[in-house]
Amino acid sequence: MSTVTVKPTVNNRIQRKRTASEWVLDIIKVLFLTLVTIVTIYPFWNIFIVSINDAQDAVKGGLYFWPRIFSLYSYQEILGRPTFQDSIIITVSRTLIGAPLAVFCTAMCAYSLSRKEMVGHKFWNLLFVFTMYFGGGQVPYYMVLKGLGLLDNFLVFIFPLIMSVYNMILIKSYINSMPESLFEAVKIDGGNDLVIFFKFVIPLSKPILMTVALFAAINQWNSWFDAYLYTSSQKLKPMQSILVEILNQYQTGSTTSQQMSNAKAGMTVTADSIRMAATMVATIPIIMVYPFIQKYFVKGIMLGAVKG
Amino acid sequence: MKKVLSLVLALALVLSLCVSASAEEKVTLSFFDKNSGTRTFDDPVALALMERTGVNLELVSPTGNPGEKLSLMLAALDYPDIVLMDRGSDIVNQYIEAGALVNLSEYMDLMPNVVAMYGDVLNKTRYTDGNNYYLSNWYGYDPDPVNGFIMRYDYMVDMVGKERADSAEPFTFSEMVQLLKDWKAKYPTIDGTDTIPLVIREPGSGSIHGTFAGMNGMYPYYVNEEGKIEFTVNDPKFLDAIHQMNELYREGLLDPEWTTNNGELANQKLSNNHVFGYVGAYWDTWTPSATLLAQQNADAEYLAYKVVADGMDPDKTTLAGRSSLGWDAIGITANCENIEAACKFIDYCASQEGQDLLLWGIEGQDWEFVNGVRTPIGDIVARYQADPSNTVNDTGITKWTWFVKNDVHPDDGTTCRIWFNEKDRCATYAYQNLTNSYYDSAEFATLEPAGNSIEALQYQKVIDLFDQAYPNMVNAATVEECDAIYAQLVADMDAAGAEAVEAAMSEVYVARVELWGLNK
Amino acid sequence: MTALNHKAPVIKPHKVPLKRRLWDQRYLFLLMIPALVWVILICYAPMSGLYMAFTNYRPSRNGYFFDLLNAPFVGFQWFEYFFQNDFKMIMRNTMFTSLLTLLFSFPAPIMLAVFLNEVKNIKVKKFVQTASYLPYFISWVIASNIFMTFLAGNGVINDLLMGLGLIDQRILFFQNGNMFWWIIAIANTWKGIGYNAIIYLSTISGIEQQLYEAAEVDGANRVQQIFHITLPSILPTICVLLILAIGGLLNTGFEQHLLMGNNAILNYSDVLDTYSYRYGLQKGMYSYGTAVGLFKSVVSFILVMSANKITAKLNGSALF
Repeated sequence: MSTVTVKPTVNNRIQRKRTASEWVLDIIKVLFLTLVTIVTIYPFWNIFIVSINDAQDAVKGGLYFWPRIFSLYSYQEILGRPTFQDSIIITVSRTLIGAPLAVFCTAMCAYSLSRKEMVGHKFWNLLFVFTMYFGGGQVPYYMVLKGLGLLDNFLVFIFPLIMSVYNMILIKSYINSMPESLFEAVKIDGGNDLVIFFKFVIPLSKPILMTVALFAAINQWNSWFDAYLYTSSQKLKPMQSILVEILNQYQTGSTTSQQMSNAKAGMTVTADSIRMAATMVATIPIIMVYPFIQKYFVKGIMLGAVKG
Repeated sequence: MKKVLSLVLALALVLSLCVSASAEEKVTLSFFDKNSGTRTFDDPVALALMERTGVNLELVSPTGNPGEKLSLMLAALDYPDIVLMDRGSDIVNQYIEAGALVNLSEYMDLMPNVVAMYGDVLNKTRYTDGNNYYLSNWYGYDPDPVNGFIMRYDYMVDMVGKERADSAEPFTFSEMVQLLKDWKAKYPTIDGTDTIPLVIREPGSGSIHGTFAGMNGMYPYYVNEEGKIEFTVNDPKFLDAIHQMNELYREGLLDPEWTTNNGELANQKLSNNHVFGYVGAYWDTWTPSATLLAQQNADAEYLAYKVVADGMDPDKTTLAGRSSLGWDAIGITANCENIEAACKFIDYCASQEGQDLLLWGIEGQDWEFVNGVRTPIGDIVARYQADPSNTVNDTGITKWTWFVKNDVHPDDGTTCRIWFNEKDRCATYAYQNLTNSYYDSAEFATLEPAGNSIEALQYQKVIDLFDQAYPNMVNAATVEECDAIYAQLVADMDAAGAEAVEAAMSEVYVARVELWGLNK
Repeated sequence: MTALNHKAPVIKPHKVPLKRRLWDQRYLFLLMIPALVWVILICYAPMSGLYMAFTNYRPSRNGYFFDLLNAPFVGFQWFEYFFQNDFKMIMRNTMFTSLLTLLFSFPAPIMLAVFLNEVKNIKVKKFVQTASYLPYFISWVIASNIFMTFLAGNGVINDLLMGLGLIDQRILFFQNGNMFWWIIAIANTWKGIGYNAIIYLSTISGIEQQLYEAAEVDGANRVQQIFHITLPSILPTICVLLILAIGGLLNTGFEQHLLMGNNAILNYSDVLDTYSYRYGLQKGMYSYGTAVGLFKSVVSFILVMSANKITAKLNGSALF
């Protein structure tokens, strides 16, 4: 355990005068971060104000900083949809069940593949990497899911997503950067791979595991395509399906026959503000998760966690 | 005593079983409707339909691209009992070839209403083997207008006077150009914004703008003297139409960004006060008109006007290409376990009573017969005009558009949809101005080579070449440049195998003309 | 925990016989089982469908596997058509778009993470960090409309450039093919910057604080600390992500192209993904779509393996 040093989490740098290069750094830093903040936050602000603007007025466009006519009608419209409440349950459960399971399975695999002494190490790695680039296509995949009995089944949201090779590689390279002496020390103390994995690798890789957990949760939260292709019952519709339907009203009406049908039925396209409200409803909950994960990215937390 | 008791109990059991069995006799049918979007099948009309047919309907609606889901269901044999798909696309033929659709010809005696309502349409929608595998939706002679110049009424009154703005006499293209120029000169800017005389939406695929094709009397394909099919670039009028668009562009009368105007951006421009007109279908401007009427004045509405190419007979225009064979195809799939029940369900929907339920609502609640004429009850039409989407959703009327026959009711002359019985100003002008421009596009539908063949790839390539060249011809800086792009396009299309594709399409077309007796 | 202990000094594995090594590594294999089941069922089983690329597959009532096995074999017909016709243009567009994207979107998150690490005010740091990953959640449908509104002829960007006197005629951004590649590259960068920075941030948080303190004692300023501590510490992560990014060069995404592109510049905006979508999926041409997809897979795989080899030579450590 000699290699693991415990460090304080507090930043206690010595205050000195800034050098010229530090001035340049600070100027570039402030400019860059300001630019990034503006270009990333503004569109979101724009979506927000359109969503709280009167729907008919919003068609005119030209909403830049403040709403012209305030209205919460769009939110009522979305949240009031009868199928909406049920779909929240599906989305929340697939995220809460799917994401932790994905992190767990991915991390286990990543640890195994990170051990270079493993028999067939190269082969196993290639086996997984290969699948990042080759796939059989929609139809055979559908047939496999059908064979596994996953069609129209809640598990179709869980099982295909328990692993992600991309995330596995991220975790693996993180584990690889840990000192080899740590693993040897544990083995000499008589600990096996399970001990190493659960007692050392998991706590030590918290930042990357949290990153992967966030990625997996976002992925689960945003998924609707699997629900569309692989389920048919209304009860399994996740929230995103409903929101994407609202969002894509312009796009799905793209064939002549659809436009004709809708026009003749007297259906008008969804107003802008409803689409924007759909975006807000879909993203705000998952964005709220981020600040909680952020604390794992604060310097020093990693080594602090192994203390004792 | 015990025996009697057990007998009674057994009897009760059997009885209760019978009762529960008959209660559960309701057949469940699953239905894929590619148009249904976010709609849910729980409104008054939906409930009434299920009650009247004794069928429990499970609606399967698309979230993404319906074509994708249909292809997948086809390959995996996972289609629901009834599917509604795009009639104009190859997917229908794929379903038929795969044996996924039930041969309806064998069940026609179960569907007397279908036979009566569809009539000759059934003959025209037969597959090459002579059988009917699907029924059309939105079929029949469809007198509804479509394309035109949809101009702001208040500006029209301002520029040409109320009398001319109200008259049904068409404008020639030169007149319209002059009118647009005058307007632009009179109003170079409005509210500080540069004005745009004409807005068009982004080009579709495979053809030039319907209004410009229509005002020159063009069809989706060019039929040459031998009665064979050619791509429209070979139509002698094609260059005229392109030159007209190019003239508008060069004169600064056309929104220079028309190629990127999706529905949303076009609506944005149209609902601001600095646009004179729109070129396209008369209903495209509903949303912006509503905004303008609320925020500008009572005449700030886009109304349809007919414009014809110079020297063109106004009655020979083709501004309203409508398929008498409908836009969608609805079929029963081979997965359906109770075909008889499905046929009965379809027969009810297609019957006049079923159509009235779907498109007029519940009799006695939404409408009633007054002296033998269908009459809306209360303010239902007014509610629709104020808020179309929600009224359709809440009442269920026209929310489910299945087996729709485009026609007026034979008994009382009312329209097939309740909303359009009393025309609003927008529809009135469209019907008054865009007359004599209808043609049946059915003969040109689904001519393209079937999927998974080299011809199909060549067809797509030709369409790609066309799609690319068309906006560039319109946006050319000079007529010479425009003609040069045209010459290049024709050469490229030939190189991509246009002739082989045309030959394949002509074969289908000639056979069809013969079958339908269309020989002109 | 003691129950799991076993006396196995695994120090020099290569001298131990295979059977013994497998037994010693039984827990490693145990940990891999869920992933192995997943990769076989979810990834490898469907690969049977790749055979479609060499046949003329058409669905029938006999079921997928029957149809696949009985489909007429056409060899490389679909590949030939692709190479003879659109290959050059499609590849040019794909490569330009993705190389430009890589040029912007690869360094941007690194810069963001490094600069964020230099921010001392926790509130500012959290705010910028959260803001930067907002675009990831905006669907392309909405994002593309924002871009198109801002870059329109009378849009804010043109107003700004005109106001600053940088241009004297409004630029029609979406009617210029070359500009389209840049727009896509910038849009991709904007959308992914915060999301991709998370990986670097988590790596930076793993750097031992001691290193900075020691450097400070040695008199290194913050610029030197960045170049001598922060960047070298995240270099392995940079390498990993670079290799993966190179393997993904042919994945340009199609939604943004479909939504922002227009017919006038189709010969610039059409990339592999949109092409195979238009010809394959949309038209139900299963075989052709599979063939184009297979071509893409092979090239991507070659790219990622080469990138891996090169970094292994330069760096001493390969990704796989």
